[in-house]
Amino acid sequence: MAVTYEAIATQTLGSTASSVTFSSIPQTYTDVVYSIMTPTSAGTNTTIQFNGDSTTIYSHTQLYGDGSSANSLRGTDQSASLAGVSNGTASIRGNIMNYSNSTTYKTYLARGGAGGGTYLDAVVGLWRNTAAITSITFLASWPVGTVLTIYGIKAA
Amino acid sequence: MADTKIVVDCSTGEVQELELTAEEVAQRVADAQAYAAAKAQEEEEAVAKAEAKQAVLDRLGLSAEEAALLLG
Amino acid sequence: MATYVEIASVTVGSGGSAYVEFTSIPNTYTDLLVKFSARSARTNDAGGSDGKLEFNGVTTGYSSRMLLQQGGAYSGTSSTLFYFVNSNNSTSNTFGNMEVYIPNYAGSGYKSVSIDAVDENNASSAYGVLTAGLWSNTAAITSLRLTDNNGGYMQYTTAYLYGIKKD
Repeated sequence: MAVTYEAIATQTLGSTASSVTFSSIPQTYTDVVYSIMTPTSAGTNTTIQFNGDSTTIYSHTQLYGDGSSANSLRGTDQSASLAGVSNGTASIRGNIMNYSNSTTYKTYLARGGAGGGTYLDAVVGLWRNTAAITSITFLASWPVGTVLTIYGIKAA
Repeated sequence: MADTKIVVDCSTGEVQELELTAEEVAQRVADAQAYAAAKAQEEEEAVAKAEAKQAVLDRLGLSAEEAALLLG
Repeated sequence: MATYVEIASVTVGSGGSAYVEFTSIPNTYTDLLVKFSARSARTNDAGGSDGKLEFNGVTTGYSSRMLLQQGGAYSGTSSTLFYFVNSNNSTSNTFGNMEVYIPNYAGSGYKSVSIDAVDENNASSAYGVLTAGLWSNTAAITSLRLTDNNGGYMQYTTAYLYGIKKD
């Protein structure tokens, strides 16, 4: 039986870091899923960049709650886009659809939040570049013990 | 109301349908009451907030649409 | 070991069930994922029935921050790991759709939980919630219980437990 959902790479941090990059991502899958667990706060927001690109061609829409009110915000022409809040013992996941095509801009959906933190969110993001994604960088104040993993999902 | 529980043993795959204990039945009643009380309080607060908002609008002589326009 | 593996599954029978519980969960995976399709026997709120997720038979140490749709969008908190499923006076033959993700479930830290739950009702009210939950307990998760806070889960409710392995 074909393997549909496969771990590509993982990092467990033994020291703090401000970014973690997964490079040379194989182009053999259909979608990429990322999963991040933070044992303590990594700051309010995780942000994401692709292929080392920090030009202002990212945008996002975020729905978030703080336990008393629901809000939404937009970010346009950003140098990185939101990828899930991480201010506490948090679970952050994202799905980057059709990452390896060289025809369309790249979109992703993310969920983040910490039950003991301040916010939870749902995000849709856009990278206005048609290049295939070969590396992904996650930026935050990553604490020791953070586990970051990317998985490949294959359509056929 | 179901008074049974389903327990799946992941090491063997066995699925059991068992009676709830007396403590579990009591906890279920307490949980339902707590949720109903919390929801009632939320609804009261929402009504109070809406009334307070309308009172301010009445004092200012504005409609809700006009207020939204000003706060836009 | 494969990356995404079904550990166990269950379908509720004709008698219904107050809760569904998975026990003896192996500690050999990295994360746990639950897919839950459920209908509650509740009949006094067509918008949905609330439920809670608990681990290891422990009833304390839970907290949640939530984004809810319940007659309008708002955010709230709870002392349980909170979700909604369809009630029995919602649209017939309709079951709520829920996913639970628990990273590092067998680790020695507090457990973070992500819940996405929606129910649908072809009427004026249908509930949904995004939950960021926390179990402030360092024990590895060895059992997982989904409890309806009202009438219990009805026949054809299903729960699937998956293990996800990072390497």
